[in-house]
Parts: sequence; C-alpha cells; structure tokens
Amino acid sequence: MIKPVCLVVLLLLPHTAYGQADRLQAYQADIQNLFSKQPAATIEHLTNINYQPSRFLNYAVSPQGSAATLFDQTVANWERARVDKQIGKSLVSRGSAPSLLGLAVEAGAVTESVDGNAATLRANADGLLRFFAGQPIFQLGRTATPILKNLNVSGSVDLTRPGTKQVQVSNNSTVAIPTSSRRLSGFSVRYDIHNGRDVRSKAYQQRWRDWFAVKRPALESAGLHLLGTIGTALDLIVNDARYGAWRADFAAALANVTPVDAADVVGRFLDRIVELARQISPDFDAKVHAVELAYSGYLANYDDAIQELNGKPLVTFEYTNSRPANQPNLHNARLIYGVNPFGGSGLATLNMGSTLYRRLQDFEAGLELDRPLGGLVTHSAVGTLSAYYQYQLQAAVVKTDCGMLPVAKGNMIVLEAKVTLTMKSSGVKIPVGVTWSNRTDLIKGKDVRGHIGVSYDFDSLLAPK
Amino acid sequence: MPCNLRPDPSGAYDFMASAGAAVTLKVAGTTGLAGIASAMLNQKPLSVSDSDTLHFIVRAGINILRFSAGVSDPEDTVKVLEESADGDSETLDEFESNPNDPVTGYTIFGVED
Repeated sequence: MIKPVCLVVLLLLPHTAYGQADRLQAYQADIQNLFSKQPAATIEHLTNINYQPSRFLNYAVSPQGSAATLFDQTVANWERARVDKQIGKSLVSRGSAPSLLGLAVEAGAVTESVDGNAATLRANADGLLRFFAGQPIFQLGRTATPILKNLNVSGSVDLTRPGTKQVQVSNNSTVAIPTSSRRLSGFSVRYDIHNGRDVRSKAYQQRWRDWFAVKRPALESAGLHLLGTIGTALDLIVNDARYGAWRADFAAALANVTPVDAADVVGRFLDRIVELARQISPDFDAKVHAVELAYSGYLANYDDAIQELNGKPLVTFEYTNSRPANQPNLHNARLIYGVNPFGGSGLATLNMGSTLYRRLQDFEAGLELDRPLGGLVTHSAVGTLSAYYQYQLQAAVVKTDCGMLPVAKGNMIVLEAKVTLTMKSSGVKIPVGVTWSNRTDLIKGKDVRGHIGVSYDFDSLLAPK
Repeated sequence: MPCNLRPDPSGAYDFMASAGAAVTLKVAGTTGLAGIASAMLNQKPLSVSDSDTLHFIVRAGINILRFSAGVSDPEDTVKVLEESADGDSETLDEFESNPNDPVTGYTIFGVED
C-alpha cells in the first residue's frame, strides 16, 4: 500500500512595498563599488544613462510598476534559471552544486520522534578558496584551477538536541536510534567528470561562436530596433546641456561621497534626470514602453542559446560518508548522469549507486525529471517528479531524508512529486511536495508529517544583477 | 600613434576626441568570448567588423554611441578597447556582463581644433 510519508508546506513571504531602495536595486552593486574598486569607472557608470539603459528607464517608471515587471521578466540570471543545481535534499542527486555555498535547513520528519533540523553546507573547492582569498567568485575556476573548479564538497550537521528512540526491528528486539546529535552527520565529495554546461570550456565557447555567427542577422535586426527605441527615449536628454552639466556636478559629488549617503546622491541625480525627461518629452512613458517591448524581442533571441546549453549532458561522481550517531559510518558511491534528450528546458537525472559497510549493503537507482514551470529563463517554479529504488541486501538501520529508520532486506520504492518556488531577485527556493513509499515498515501507518523547507543559493546573491 | 578617445575630466561626457578623428573600438571578454550584435552612432546603424569591432568618425559636438554586446559566459567581465592605427590598444571601460541588459552606450564630445 502506498502511503504519504512527507508533506511539505509552503512558507509565504510577506509582500513589501516598492520603495526607493527597490528602485535603486539595479544600481546597488555600482554604489558599493564606489568604495571598493575603480571609483572613476563606477562614477561614469552611475551617471551614464546609456550604460545598461534599462536600469534608468526602470527607475524612471518603476513607481508606476509596468517597467519593473517587464524587466524582471527578462533573463533574470543564468544562475537563477538553472534547474540542475543541487541545493538541499532530494531523492535523486543532480549534477551541479553551487559555486560557493548552498545552505539548506530543513525541519520535520516521518515519525513523531524524529523532528530535528539538519543544516547542509555545500561548497565548490575553487570558489571557496578564492572567496577566502578575496577574489571575485564568478571568475573562479576559469583559468588555473581546472580540477578544483569541478570539485564540490558538502557537510551536514544535525542541529537538534541529542536524544534516542527505541525502535522495534523484530518481534523480540529493539534498537536505540539517536534522533539527533548536533554533530557532523555526514559529508560528501563530488567531482564533475564531464560538464557540458560549463560556459568556460573550449567546447562550449566554440558552440557559442557558431551560434553567434548564425544568429547575428536576427540579433542585429532586433538589436538595431532596440537601440533605435532607446535613442528615441534618451537622446533628447543626452543632447540637453543640463544633462552634461548635472553629470559633471554629480560626478564630483560622488567622488567625495560617504557610504551612508551614496544611495541618496545617486537617487537625487536620477530624480533630476527623470524630471528633465518628462519636461522635454511629455510622451516619455510611452517611449519607455516601446523600449520594454524592444528588450523583450531582443532577449528572446537568447532563449535558444540557453536551450542549447541546457541540452548538454553532465556526468558526476559522488562519494558520501554518513556518520549517524552510535552507528557505524556508511560509505556511499554514486554515479550521476544528467541530460535533456529533447533539448528543451527540463532536466532528466539518473543516479546509480551502492552503500558499503564492511560488505555491500544495498544497490540503489534513481530517476528525476525537473521541468521549469513557465518561461525558460523567467520561470518562478520548477516541477519535479522523482522515483527512487533501493534493494536492501542486509537488514539495517539506515539514514534517510526522513531520519534514522530500520529497514529489512528487500525492495524499497519511493516516489516524490514536488514544486520548488523561486523567490524573484533572491536565491530563496521553497519546495512543496509529497512523497510515497511502498515500505509500510518504514512508517507508522497513519503518520503524516509536514515540514517547511527553505533553501538558499548564495550564488544568486553574488551573481551580477 | 596614440588612441583618440580620452576620458572627459569634467565628467560631463564619457569621452572627448578631436572632431574628425577615426576611432576603432572593439569589445573582448575577460575569460570567454564577446561580440557586438548591433551598434548605432547618432541614431544611425553602424556596421560591425569581425563580429566585435566598430569603426566610426567623431563629429563635432555630442556623439551618442550605443551597441548591444553578446558574451559566451553570462558572468564574464566585458572590456571595451580602442585600437590605434599602429595596433596598440587601450582599455576604455570594463563592466560585468548583465544578461538583463546587453546594451552599453557612451557620449563622446568631438572638439573642433
């Protein structure tokens, strides 16, 4: 009989009002750069409305909302668009791991005694090393460290208070199962043997070169339309003598600004330019709307480049050392293959592996299908269907996503359906799902327990805005 | 032979150049590839050479140059360079690629000698 094992409930984040800080969001990185690197170049970017002009146009109309919505719907970020990254727990391991850290804190479990929290930290070896060296994360692993960039490590810590629970494993014997331990409960090392999605690889760069050559006529046509509409919206401003004069004034002000009032100075400059725009161009908002449409048309050309990248396979080897309290350490080896055979936006991942403790404990296989729900690069959720099969060669107490459980020899099948919601403009991902298992000995029949899952991809935080 | 574009010390414009100066401008990725898909100077299309190079003449007064760049690595840092007639190059600007917005533009003021 198939019974529900886990039910994940949704945590809704409160909607906040759209304020000045939101309007300046696209400028925040440059505002911070005023105090860290190349201030002269940063000042030029901040006072130049032609530098990534969507951010000025967005600022100009954002209180009305339309442009903010549209620009958010364009290519948010390659990092946020990917469905192949493994953050937090899943029935099936996916090929990629975050470049820096993925922190997953998950609460809840199968039985009433196992309700602990687990924190999992993942890191890319090269990314972590360079992070501590103070180098930019997103330039990592592209040149001198070809092995480290493919190496990812993770560790899980049980955060709850120590405790045990007696579990009956046969008619006349029980074992004490620790419910938590506040200790390192496991670590894993994974190595990307082949990553066809590595944008730094020579093979990918050649594919991009070929794609760009073929796509150039379409990009040029859409690009000229885009540049023309931007010119129609902005050239009256740029040709106005006041624009140049204010640029000079604010460039001088920004050269001596303090971190406390930098955003305010940038905001005052932009407000003045917006006022000028409306003064000399009464139909400025209509012109901005035309630019919005042109951006959409232009960026749509990149969809197939991302689609092509999505179609490349991933092959990863993963070793996991599980360290359950008062139990022997288990060694698990797993081969992960990820591919999209149809070249679409989803991902199919196949896992095969085995667990070792003195002798072979089990054989396992898993299949997971991930599909963005919505546009290829604009989706706000990913749907996942997973199937996991394990043949237990020896009766044992095993660690599962739902806690420490006794399992008898034989077949085990787990099915899971899940939707992972992605919060826009952040790396927060919230999974909502249901899991079933054929093994009723794993649970107490009527036990249904929900838990809240929140995963954070720190790459999204550090990715260029 | 030196490059023609020089930063405007006042900050009113991005670059200054002598009116009539011939400029060769190109983009390059730091670790990946970069190209120019389309470009306009003063609202007129500008042809792109070798997928990454622009040639134009600076006219007197305000010149508005805009182009859309493409990069193989969405996280790359893009460099904008000017090449002089004798083959030297000078970095005019560099910025992190933004998949949201591939457009960059500069105001160049042409000074009549």
